[in-house]
Amino acid sequence: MFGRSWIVDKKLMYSAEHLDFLRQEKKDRVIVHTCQIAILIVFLVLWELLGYFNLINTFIMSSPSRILNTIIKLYASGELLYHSAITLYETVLGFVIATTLGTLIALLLWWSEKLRKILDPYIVVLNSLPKIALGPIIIIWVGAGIQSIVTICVLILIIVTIISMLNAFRECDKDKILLMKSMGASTLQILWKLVLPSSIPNFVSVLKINVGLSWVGTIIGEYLVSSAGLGYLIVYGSQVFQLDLVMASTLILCILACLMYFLVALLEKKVLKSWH
Amino acid sequence: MQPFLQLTNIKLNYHNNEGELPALNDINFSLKKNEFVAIVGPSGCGKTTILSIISGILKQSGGKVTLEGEEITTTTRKIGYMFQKDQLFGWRTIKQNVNLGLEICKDKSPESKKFVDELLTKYGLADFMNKHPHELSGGMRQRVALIRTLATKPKLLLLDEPFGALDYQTRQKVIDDVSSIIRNEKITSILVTHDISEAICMTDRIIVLSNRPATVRKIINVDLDKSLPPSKRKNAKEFTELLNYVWKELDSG
Repeated sequence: MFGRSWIVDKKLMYSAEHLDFLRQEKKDRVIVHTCQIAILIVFLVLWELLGYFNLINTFIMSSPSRILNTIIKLYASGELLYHSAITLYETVLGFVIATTLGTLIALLLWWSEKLRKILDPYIVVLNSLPKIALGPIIIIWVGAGIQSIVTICVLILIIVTIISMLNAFRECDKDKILLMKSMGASTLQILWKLVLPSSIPNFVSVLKINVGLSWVGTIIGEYLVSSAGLGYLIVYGSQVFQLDLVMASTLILCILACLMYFLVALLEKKVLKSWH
Repeated sequence: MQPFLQLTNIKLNYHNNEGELPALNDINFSLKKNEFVAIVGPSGCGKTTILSIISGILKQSGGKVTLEGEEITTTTRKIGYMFQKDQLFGWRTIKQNVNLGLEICKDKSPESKKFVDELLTKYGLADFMNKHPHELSGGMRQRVALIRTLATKPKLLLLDEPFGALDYQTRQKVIDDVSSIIRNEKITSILVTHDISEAICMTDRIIVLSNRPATVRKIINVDLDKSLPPSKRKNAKEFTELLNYVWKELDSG
């Protein structure tokens, strides 16, 4: 009701009380942001200083400047791009395969109530199973390399995707389905015109969950079996006791994951704008 | 002359693991063309079930429903169903919502499109065609829902407590609205409601159902001035008499 245009139109007519309220709001925002940035800066400076004055062992704890140097070195040698690209590739591939396949399976289970009932116990068991336990089997079956990393990633994501999407499809308003049936709609029409569009907000939140989980899947996969990628760098770094490398790789991982999450959040904002 | 709609010995049993539960037992009634009939009854007696059977969504256990002499076995374009809540799709504009029925029966004819546009214009929704449902008031949304039902030109309209979800003030207005639309478009209609005064002031006849398993207890003619809008019919002195009469019939059953 109180759309943005309304606020802009009335801006000139604000009362002193309202202007005061706006000032207070702005002040609160500034304080929050300043504190957020200050915490980060204090943390980094403290870390750096403690290392500089030898109060902590930088060989084990590393330091911001050493991490930065490592990143520059990795970038110069081309390794940064190479390893990042591999991990990113695996993550995106796992994310896309798991989300698509999971949604399709959920659709199938929605379509056939009988199939859903038959498969229900299997889904429950698979969901409670720590998928990482299947790691060694997967490596033997699909072979060491990117394919097993992607498989592990897909396995971790797919069950959650199936369960969330199936719930979303099944939660679709029964009366709306009845309405469509009274109009003579086929199951395909009910799916296409009602169930799918009404599940889009759920689909977007599944995407958001999967973005985070796909990084977990890929890194776990890389820990188990890899010859390249950020997960590999982390494991390698810890084995040769190069904590700078471990920290630098972790930081890059952090940035990449944030970027991907940010993209999905942007998509969410775009999609949900026209959804009510 | 054969009746427009005829229900003959309609039976319905619900089944679950504990056993069989008879819900409807030999329901018989008929409607003439252009008649507006209300079904009232104790709550849970199966009023909505009767509508579901007439519309073809639910298969009866016995008996048959005929519309213009043809037996109804599945959903048909000839019957429009309106629910308690407007059930508009939030992601569709008003125009797209109203066109849902036509999309489903793959009717792309320009006449149908024109008919819908005319309905929207006639009932004051032309300016809202490209808005989304959340931008409209409850009363307007219910009007959109009615137009969505009328878009496929049904011959019989089923109304399942379509005013139940509205607040009191909006309700009076929407009842007048819907009533005049139905009279204007000359559609035979059945209204299911638990609000007896609503039934009396809108319809020509009231079918009173008994407790479960439901049978037709009584059919009461409503002799009020049909040229008046429902909100005015309430002022007639016969209104109170009818109200008491229907109440008594409901109470005894």
